[in-house]
Parts: sequence; C-alpha cells; structure tokens
Amino acid sequence: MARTSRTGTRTDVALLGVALVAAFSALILPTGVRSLVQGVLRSSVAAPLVAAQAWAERGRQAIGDHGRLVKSVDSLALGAQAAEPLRAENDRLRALLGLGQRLQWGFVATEVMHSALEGDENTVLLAAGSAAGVRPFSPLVVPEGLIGMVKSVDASSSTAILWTNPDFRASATTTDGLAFGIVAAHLGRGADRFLLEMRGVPFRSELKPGTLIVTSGLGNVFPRGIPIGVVLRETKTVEGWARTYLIRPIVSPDAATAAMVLLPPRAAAGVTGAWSNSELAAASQKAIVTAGDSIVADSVRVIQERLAKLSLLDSLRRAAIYGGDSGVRVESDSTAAPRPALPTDAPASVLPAPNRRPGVTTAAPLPATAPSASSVPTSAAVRSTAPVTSPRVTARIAAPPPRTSAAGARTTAPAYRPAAVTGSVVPGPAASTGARPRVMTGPGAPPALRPRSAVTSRADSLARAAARARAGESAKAKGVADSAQARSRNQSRPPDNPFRLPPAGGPA
Amino acid sequence: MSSLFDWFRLLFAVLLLVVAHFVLRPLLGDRIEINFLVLALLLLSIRVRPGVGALLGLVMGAAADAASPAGFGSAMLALTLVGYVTSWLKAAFFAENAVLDGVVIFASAWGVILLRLLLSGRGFEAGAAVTALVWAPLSAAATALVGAVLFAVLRPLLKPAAA
Repeated sequence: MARTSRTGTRTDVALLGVALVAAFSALILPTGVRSLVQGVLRSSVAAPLVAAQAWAERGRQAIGDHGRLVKSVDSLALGAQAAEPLRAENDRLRALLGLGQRLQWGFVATEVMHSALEGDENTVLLAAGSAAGVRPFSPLVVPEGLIGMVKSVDASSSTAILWTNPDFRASATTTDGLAFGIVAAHLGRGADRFLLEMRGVPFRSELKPGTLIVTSGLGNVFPRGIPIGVVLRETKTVEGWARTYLIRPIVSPDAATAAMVLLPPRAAAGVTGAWSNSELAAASQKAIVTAGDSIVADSVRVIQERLAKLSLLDSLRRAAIYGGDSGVRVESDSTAAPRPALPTDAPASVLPAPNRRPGVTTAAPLPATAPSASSVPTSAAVRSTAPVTSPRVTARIAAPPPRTSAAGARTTAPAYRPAAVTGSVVPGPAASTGARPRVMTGPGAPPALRPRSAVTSRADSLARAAARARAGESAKAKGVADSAQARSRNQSRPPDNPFRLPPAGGPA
Repeated sequence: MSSLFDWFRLLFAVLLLVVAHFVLRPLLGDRIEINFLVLALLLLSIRVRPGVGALLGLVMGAAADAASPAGFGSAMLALTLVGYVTSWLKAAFFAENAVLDGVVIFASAWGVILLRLLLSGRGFEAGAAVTALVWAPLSAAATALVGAVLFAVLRPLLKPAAA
C-alpha cells in the first residue's frame, strides 16, 4: 500500500516535471519558433476556441460601437433639429430672391419683426423706412402673395398691418376678373380667426371653392395680381344684397420673417407676371374650364330658343299653306307615309343662289323614284343630308355657329319635312334611318313658294335676331370657347343641332 | 456504466466552461475577467491524480496561450501548477464547503494572473502593480464567486460516483 502511494507520487512528480518542462520550454522558445507553435495551435486544435473568442471580441466591440453610434445619432438628431428652421428660412429667403428676380425693380427687402405684445399681433415692425423709399400704404408682399400694408414710416423703420388686422382692406377679384369684392379680416373665433372674407361680391358672381383671389388693382394701393387666398365657401350675411365668401389666406403671417415692400412706382407700374406660379396657373385653368361650361350651357339655351322660334314659324307656315296651293313636296324613301302628289313647277333650285350653302347641292333633274311621287314630273331636285325645312329658313337660321362648327360633333341630323307638304315639323323616321329627303319642285312650285314670302320674312327676322344674339355672346370668350367646349363636349354633349348644315365637301 | 456516464457529464461541463472562457469572458468585462478555465481545471483536477492534473493544466494553458498574443507558455506553467496543487490538496480543501471552495478558487485564479503577469514580462510594465493588486484580486474574486455558485449548483450532478 505504501509502495503504491510512493509509486503514484513519483509518477505524479514525473508528470509534473514533464508539464513544467513543456511550459518552460514554451516560455523560453525563440520568438520565431514560439510564433510558429502558436500559429499551429491556433490553426489546428485551438482553432474553434480562437474563432469563438474572435467572435466574442467582435460582439463586445459591436456593443461598444452601439453606444457610440447612439451618441452619434443623438448628436445628429440635435443637429437636424437645429438645421430644420435654418433650412426653412433658407427656402423662404430663396423664394424671396426669386420674387425679387421677377419684380426686378421697385421693391425693398426687409426683415419682419413680429410683436410679442398681447393685442399687437396684427402689426409688424419692418427694418426699412423712408430712407429706403418706403411710403405709407405700400404693399407688403412675400413670395406667396399679399401679407399686409405699410401703416406708418420712420426714417429707418416702418410699421405695417397684416391682413389679420381689422383695419386691413384690399380690393380683390378673381383671376378671370369676373367677380370683385373687398377683402378684409374675418374676425371670427377659433380657427376662423385666421381667415379672410371677401365682401360685396355681386349675386351674379358665384365663386366656387378653390377659386384664387388676387388684388384687383382698384384703389391704387395694391397692384393687380397679387394672390390673397382661395375661396373656401360662401357665408350668409345679414345684408343679403351681396355675397360674402370666406377666403383661406395664402400667406400665414406668423411664418413671414422676411418680406418685400413694393415701392409706389412699382405698385403703380403693376406686378404682372411676378406671381405666375403653379397655383395661379391652376386657378386660371379652372377659370377657363368654368367659362367653357357656361358657354356650352349658353349654346344649349340658344338651341332651345331656336326650337321655340321654329315651332312658331311652322305654325305660321302651316296656316299659310293650308290656305293656298303648294308646289313643293318632299319624297322620302323612308317609312314615311306617302303623301299626295302635287304638280310642281319650281325652278331648278329652291334655294336662291346667294343663300346656297356648300352642303346643299343642286343636282340635275331626276326622275321621281318615290312611289308616291312617281307620276310627278320634276324639273329639279335638291338632295341634301342636312335637315331641310324651308330652304330660306335653313339657309338663315341653321347656319352653324362658329364654335359649334369647329366642334365637329355631327351626327345624323333629323330630317324636317317642309311644312308646305307635311303640315308639321317633326323629325321624321329618316333621321334615324339615314334616309335622305328629296325636295322636288315642279311646274306648280312657284305658287307654293309664294305664300312663303310672308313667312320667310318673319323667319328671317327671327334668324337674324338669333344670329345677333349668338354673335354677341360668342365674341367675348371665343378664344377660350373652342378648347373648353371641345373638352366638355364628351361630358355634356348638347342636343344635336337640327339646323346644322353638313360641312363643305361632306357626303351628299 | 454509471462511472462512465459521470465522466461524460463531467467532460460536458468542462467543455461548457472552456467555451464560456473564450466566448463569455470577453463579453462580461474588460478589466475584471472571470477565468472559466480555472474553474474547469478545478472540476477535473479534484477527480484525478496530481500528475494528471498537471498535464490537464498544461493542455488548458496551451489553449489559453494559443488565444493570447503574448506570453506564450505562461498560462501553461500557471495552470500546470494550479492543476497539480489543487489535485494534491483536494482532500484537504475540497470539502462540502462553498466558502472553502471559493477561497481555493480565488487563490488559484489570483495566482494564475500573477504568474502570467510575471512570466509574460508584463509584470514590470507601468500599471502592472495596479493590475496585480487591484484588478487581479477583483477578477479572482469574481471567478471565485461564480465558481462557488457553480459548484454548489452542480455538486449533485458532478459528484463522483462512489468507488
């Protein structure tokens, strides 16, 4: 037992000696050999452990970097918060520079200092005075539009009232110049306190929400064309003799830190083109569309008036024709009922030469093809795809208005049979079937045309009146009518004009 | 069979400690380091003869030196001595007493740090005294604390089977 313990001790000592020798050997190895042995261990047996330690070191470094990154991000966030107002101010100053480039002359750029006193928030102090040319009642503008007006002037500073001031007034109009009014502060409560209202707008001028309101140039204070705001809605007033609209201002007075004072010569010369921004263009486009819609509505109204006049005309003609003979007859290959054949002795054309339209063609004498009129000899025939009433009426009344002729919206026109034959003016089946009425004249035609003289004179007078009314209404907005009407035609096509002649060169 | 299973269980625990030494130790602290290799060596050395304990210390020291950029061989020597001594003194010190276990672990860990400081040549650099007298005891104390808790928890599992 004692030998075993002694042997074990010797073995342990021997193993300890071996281990110590190995450890000392590692310690005293030359640097090159030590690195070689260390490299072999790292790449073989201890490779997983070294890799795990390297991974842990990277994780620890990442943890440390995370803290530094958080600090860096916080610092950048603080810097960004400080940079945002600077960027906004930079944008405002750039816009102010752009306005200065558009105005080119006659303005003074100034700093706007808001007052912090209670009750004085509607007045600002400007860093430019009479030495810089500022005068009382000079407009105070920013790149977006009007902000106020100079109230009093010192040598080096001046005081201006903002549009929120109860004393602020500005003559305003829409961009199309159709509605005028006086813009003043709304003086409401809550959020409405920062709105404007446009008073004194005539009842005939109904403004749609979104309509841009600009200065009108009346009163020689504000030049025409400075944007003020856009229409929000109409408000009810106790007066009841004019409309009042709520206006959303384009400019927020609190946001203005720099502005421009328009000097009197510049205000007198106007600021045309200085505020031709996209909003102004959009408002102009909206105004054009609105004008186009009204023109189309007027066209429909004129057509309805013509229909009423035509009914009167036919009634008169019917009374005249049933009191005498007639030499004009319409034959149709449609499903119209056959009419009694009448002897015709009309000239070659029922249309007087000066009144002929390109769409009405005078053809050679044709034999009567309609069964009901086969026995009637014809001396002339007028073939037309156009609706035919009285030739003279057709020539005078049915002349297409200039704007509708440009529309090109021609469909199959309903055929109107002459009242001299049919006794009524209603669109016949030929309108839908495309049948062409044939006006035939014969030896008995002149007597038939005779009673028309009194009728046509009445029709001519009505037609001339209608033409004058149409010419008068179309002269004003003719430039915008074509584009607006072409755009709105697909949405609200007016009823087909039964009086429209076929275009020149069209199918006969 | 039971003894073989105990040895597998012991080796698994030692392997976890070795891995923890290379993975957890860098993450846990910079100046105060927990030496899991000492804990693994103590787990093994109390179950083997002193000579084998010395060889195990040599192997673990080689693994530690392989991952260290300088002082190659210092950990071999330190852990060889720790393995031999703790295996020789196991009957005297490794009783069923957690405090005594902690003291032994503290002495072993501090001794390893001091030996590595001396043998790697860093013991004569500026700040070595602070490391040896402040940070090394703190690291050894942390190691002892973790070891005492670990041994107390794992004692039922790692208790060697009766011969």
